[in-house]
Amino acid sequence: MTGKQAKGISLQQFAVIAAMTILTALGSLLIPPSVVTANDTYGSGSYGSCTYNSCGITFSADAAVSLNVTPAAGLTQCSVASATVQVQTDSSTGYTLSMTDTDTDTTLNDGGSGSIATTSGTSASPTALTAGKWGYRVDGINGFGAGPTSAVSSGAVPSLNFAAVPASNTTPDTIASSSVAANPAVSTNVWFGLCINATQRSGNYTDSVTYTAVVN
Amino acid sequence: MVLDVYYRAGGVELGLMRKARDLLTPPRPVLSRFHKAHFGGLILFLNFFGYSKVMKRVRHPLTIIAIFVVIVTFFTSHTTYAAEPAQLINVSPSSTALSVEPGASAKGIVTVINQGTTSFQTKLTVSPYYVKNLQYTPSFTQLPGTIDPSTWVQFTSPITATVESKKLFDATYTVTVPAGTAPGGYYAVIFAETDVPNDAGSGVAARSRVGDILYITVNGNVTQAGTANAANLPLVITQDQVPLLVTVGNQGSVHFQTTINTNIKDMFNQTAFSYQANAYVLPQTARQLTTTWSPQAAVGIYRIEQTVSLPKGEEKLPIKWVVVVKPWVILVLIAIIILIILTLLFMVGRRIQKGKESHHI
Repeated sequence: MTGKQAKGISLQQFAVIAAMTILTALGSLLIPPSVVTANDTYGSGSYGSCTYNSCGITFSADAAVSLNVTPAAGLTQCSVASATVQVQTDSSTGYTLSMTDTDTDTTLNDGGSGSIATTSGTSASPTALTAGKWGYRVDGINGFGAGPTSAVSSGAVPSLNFAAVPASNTTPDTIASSSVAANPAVSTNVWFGLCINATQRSGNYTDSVTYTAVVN
Repeated sequence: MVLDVYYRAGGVELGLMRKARDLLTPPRPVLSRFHKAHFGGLILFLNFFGYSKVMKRVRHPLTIIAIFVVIVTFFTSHTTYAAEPAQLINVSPSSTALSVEPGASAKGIVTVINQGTTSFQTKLTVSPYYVKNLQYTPSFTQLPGTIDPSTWVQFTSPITATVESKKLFDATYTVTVPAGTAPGGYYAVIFAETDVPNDAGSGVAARSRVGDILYITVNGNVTQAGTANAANLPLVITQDQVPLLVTVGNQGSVHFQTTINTNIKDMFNQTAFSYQANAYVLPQTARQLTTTWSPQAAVGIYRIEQTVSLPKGEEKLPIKWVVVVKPWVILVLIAIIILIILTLLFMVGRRIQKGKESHHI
């Protein structure tokens, strides 16, 4: 061991470290992406006229929102829960995320004669929930106001206003948008709420919504 | 991790790895106070990944930096979500431009990618597409009185598929334009959607769909014409975010792609902000495109230059000058002015008082 080495790193050692570092860094940048074919693994390469993560649009949403509510005699009981949706795109003009019901029937149905109708509110003019109604809200957009909305489980009627989910054959409600690229992904909370009274028939009530994300 | 395994394994050593071993096993196995003071964060980071033994033998800050860069390079080579959702559907591309002769066909491909951690069943559908208002709010129903070009799209591959995690599905299609179709622009959107069962059994289930917008040009005698106008800005700006609005109109019979270049320079001709936005403008519509600028300086004078590409060529929008003043600066100025006025009043008052005292004497 030389005195030079004992003091610190030698020129030779530094050159080796520097070479390893630069090669590793440049390797990930300079290696040309391979063309990916159908059913190949996603992660690099070209996709149509785009390269990896360059000009597509990515979307994710919670698969379902559970709204369990326990009726109480003489009271209107409500539950509110949220779904998180995320959009990511490199489009320089951003994206628009909209929502409709999956079909033209916008009621929550239990598969029998029980149903819970949508509230009369709209996204431009939402209204408070009442017994036997359900709806959605997104804090800070359209006529919903800033909120913040919080989760409720078999509680009192929320003070915030909700809107009906539009039917599939009508103009969708815009629930999020951006005029610039959304990368990293932008999250939005969509709150669903329903209220019932003691006359509501017990059962599992369901409906489905469709989120649609397109670039602007 | 490679370094860690290597270090513990010892044994066979080749080329660079031996050099690396030499670097990692120097005679003085302690970090200097200087290294700990200046690279403590890095050392903690590396220790977290089990490099404590190795790091005790590292003597030089450059070595620590080099190892850090290598690790960061490995860990940042892919875009990841903070907490990756189970279902993550992507379509690529998100818009496609096609040119077709009347009576002819064009082929296309759209890729559905599962970036999530669980598989999903995807289904491809086609819908009409048009836009409303200046903000181009999309609508996926047929505009009354117009042709529905979504009926021109036929898939040549299955329209349903199970896409496993981190896999993709290429869907091919043809766009066949009926003979006799008038030249111009026609629009549809191919959706890839997930079909999700409601696991909860009650509540609201969600179906996700993402779209590839088809901008179809039916060739022939089409007209292309466009205009651009920028919205006025106040001379003095106090907001943290300044929306720069440009409205691009399309008076032609077919869409065009416009590019808006925004360049903002300060008093010293240094670029403070630049942004390029690309967008389609549909025929007989006007589209308002917003570029949001967040001035960083508390006070400054800026020159805003914007160019817009139109079918006839690039158009320069009138240059604007703005003065940026953050609200707290205004408050400070007001406070200073009040302080000066109070000081002057106090001084004048004292002078009057002194004058009265000398008059009495």
